[in-house]
Amino acid sequence: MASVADDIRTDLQLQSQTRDFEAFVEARRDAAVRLAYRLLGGDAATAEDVAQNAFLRAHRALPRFRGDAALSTWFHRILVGEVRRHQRWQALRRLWYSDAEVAETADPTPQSDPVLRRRIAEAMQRLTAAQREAFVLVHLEGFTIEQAAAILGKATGTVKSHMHRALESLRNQLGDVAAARSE
Amino acid sequence: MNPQDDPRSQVPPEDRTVIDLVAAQYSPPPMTAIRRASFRQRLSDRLVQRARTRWAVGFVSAAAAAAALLLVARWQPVSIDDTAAISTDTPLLYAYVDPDEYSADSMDYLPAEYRVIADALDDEDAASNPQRR
Repeated sequence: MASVADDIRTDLQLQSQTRDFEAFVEARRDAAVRLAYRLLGGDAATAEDVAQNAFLRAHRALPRFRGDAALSTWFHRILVGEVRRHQRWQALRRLWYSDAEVAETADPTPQSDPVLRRRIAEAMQRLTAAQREAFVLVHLEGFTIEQAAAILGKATGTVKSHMHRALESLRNQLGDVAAARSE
Repeated sequence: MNPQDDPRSQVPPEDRTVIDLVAAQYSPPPMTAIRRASFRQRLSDRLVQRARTRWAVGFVSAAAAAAALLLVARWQPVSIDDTAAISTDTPLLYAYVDPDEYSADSMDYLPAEYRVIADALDDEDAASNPQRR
């Protein structure tokens, strides 16, 4: 019967889509969590939540993906959007609650110096959101300026300018540590 | 891309050190197998939950739309009958609406005591000025 065959075909398509999506998540999970962590300022649990939200949103939007952008660019655009949404929500919460109640947790990192990590996290937090996004995408995550501009929805010149200012700020704040470690 | 266009290749060595320092120290701790499994499970649960919610929302929306359609189909416009709106059962009310049509005598709509006074005044007026009658 045609209807049974259609049902089986639909079922197989769904299973295939589910497997594809699982593979998609598996391939991008660690990078997504790392990018969210770096953009959010060093909170691993929040970074995981934000990455999950991005995967959920990607799952919903996947049928509408037209392929006119690379899948990676498309997904990272969703992820950056989720990070920005979370930051707006955090800013709103800070308006209502005291800072102590929304205090971000510092992750225990046995593999490195916690004081140094805190100092680097503070230096990153002093950057503007736009500077942090440009710096992280290009210098830490290895995207080209064109890819970063496409992800951030900005002109390449704007991204370059943000990168330049971010690097200048980090050099001023962390130059002494970097020099001491390179000696 | 031409390597000379790559901003990372144009970074001076002292800035390169800063970037390397941040890249090494500003990363989340590696996910353990347990955390990976937990991540996968939570995502899977949320996907199932979302699918259920979408189904429920679709069902409620369809039911609401059907109810609205039924309401529209059964609705009949209410016609206002002008003649029925004002009852003529009460002579007094009708008298207030158009007293001249109610009675040839314009005094009939007045209460009895007023009518006596009005009649008396009319009589007096007629007596003093006979041409008006």
